[in-house]
Amino acid sequence: MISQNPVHRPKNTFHVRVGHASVTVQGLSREDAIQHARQRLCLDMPRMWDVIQSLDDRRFEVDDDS
Amino acid sequence: MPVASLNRPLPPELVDAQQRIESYARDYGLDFYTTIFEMVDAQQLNAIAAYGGFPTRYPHWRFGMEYEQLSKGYSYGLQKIYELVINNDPCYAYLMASNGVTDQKLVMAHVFGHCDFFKNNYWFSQTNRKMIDDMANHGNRVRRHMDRFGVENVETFIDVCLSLEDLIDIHSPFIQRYERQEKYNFRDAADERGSEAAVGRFRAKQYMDPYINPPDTLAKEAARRQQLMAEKGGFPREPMRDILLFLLEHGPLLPWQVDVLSIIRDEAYYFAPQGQTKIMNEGWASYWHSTIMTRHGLEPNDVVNYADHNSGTLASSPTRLNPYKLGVELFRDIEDRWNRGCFGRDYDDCDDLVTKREWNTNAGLGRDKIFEVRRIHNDLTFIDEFLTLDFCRRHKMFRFGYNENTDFYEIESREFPKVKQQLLFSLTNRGRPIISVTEGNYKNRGELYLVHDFNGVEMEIGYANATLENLYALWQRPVHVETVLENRIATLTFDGKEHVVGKTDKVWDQDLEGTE
Repeated sequence: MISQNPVHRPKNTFHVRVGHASVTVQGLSREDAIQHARQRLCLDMPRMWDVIQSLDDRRFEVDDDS
Repeated sequence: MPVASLNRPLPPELVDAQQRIESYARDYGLDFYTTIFEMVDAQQLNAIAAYGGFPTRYPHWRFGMEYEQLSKGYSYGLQKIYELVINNDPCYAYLMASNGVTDQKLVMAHVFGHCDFFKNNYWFSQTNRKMIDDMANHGNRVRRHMDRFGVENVETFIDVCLSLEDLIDIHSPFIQRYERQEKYNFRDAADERGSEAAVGRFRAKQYMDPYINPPDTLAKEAARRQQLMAEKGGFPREPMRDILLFLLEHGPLLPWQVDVLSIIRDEAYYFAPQGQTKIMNEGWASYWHSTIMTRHGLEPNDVVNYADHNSGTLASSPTRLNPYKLGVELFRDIEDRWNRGCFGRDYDDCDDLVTKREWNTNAGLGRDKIFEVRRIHNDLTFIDEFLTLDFCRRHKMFRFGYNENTDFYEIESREFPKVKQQLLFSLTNRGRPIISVTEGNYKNRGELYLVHDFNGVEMEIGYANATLENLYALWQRPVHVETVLENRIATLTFDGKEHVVGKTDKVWDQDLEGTE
């Protein structure tokens, strides 16, 4: 499909892994995927909020599933 | 009860564990006084617990009774004290020698949570941080009185005082309601026996006292002085919840009785904040032992033991509220809500369930919020502020009561307002009736008149009658308490011989907030 909207940028699906946890998120880039993954993990594991927020980006393994 | 010889040093692995766990606790922002851990066996721990956490108290049978109950519970495997810590500077905490290393680490983390709470919660700010020394001092003073005036006399008097130890004003440490009194100096004391002039008493040796100061003469003199005071104006000037203080200032007590009652009052005020913050304190300590252990403290071989112990501590029962469970879940809920921004007008006004469930502004304020909560709230305000409908539903909270038809306790309601109201009632004034002394010269006959601030829960008549008897024992004149029975204003009276219930036709009007 060809998008007629020049601003529209389709999101890719990323599989993000950190430690023993993994989530699948939509994102525009690796950094975007990591940010979404942080949010999802914080929602899934509310008691680990401070730990997840303080993790370095390099701890996240990102695989492009698209 | 063997509580002496507590100087058993900690083994090296526990010293190391203590230092590590303490450093984790301080890194998370916990702030506490120096904490000293003592290793004791089960018998010693039960004895210290029976004494309320202090190695020495005044001698009284209640401590022996408490010890028997605790040690029997331990022997039969019904209960076990894992940790005991006192509000003091330094904090003293007791570890049971028979516990495994995992349990000891958990207890240490839990203790640091308690110590932080004691130091930083505002409701403890006026407590005596050197109480361990004062408790020993209290014990010495009571023993001296026992030596001088007889064990039975003093113990009987302590029985009476202990039955009245809840008649204090828990807010008075934070409000200056009356002129400040010197801590134990409730009468102008010329010597150790106090001012006999205050009740027209002449100095006499103990064996001559009944002849030189006959009781009926003293009672007449006390009534005459009270009449003089009444002519100057009624007392107290306003209803006074600190009934123990009123008795100390105006009751016909001997100097040693004033001393003993002041000790009981002092200790009641020391322990009062602990009763007001049970849910918060245990929740806070549980939150931190869970955080420290799961993130730092557990080795692989500790996991199962830790999970077993933790689940036992946080287990819910259908018949009893578990303060550990409620407290820790509320703190976790607060942290989660403030991390996701689930607070404030926008959130409260949102009426879309899906939007509310997925609400997330990444506020990240959770940790700061729980520290703020632990600083300023007590159980009553904690539950009032943070027990929400959503929390109540998620944790399946219900209100239960006794069904006389079925002779069973049953669930009465799952409605959130009723559940919350029952919880708040049980926490208001630590679940005790609010009673004030309004008149110290009732009917101009020196009789004591009290008023029960009725909030819908009637007084237990048996307890009320026993309390009146004990008040009479101190006041030496008839005592009345106005309350509400079966929706009508009634007065319970004890005149030294019999109990009388005087019911009126006046109906209690809830809208008038009490009696008229």
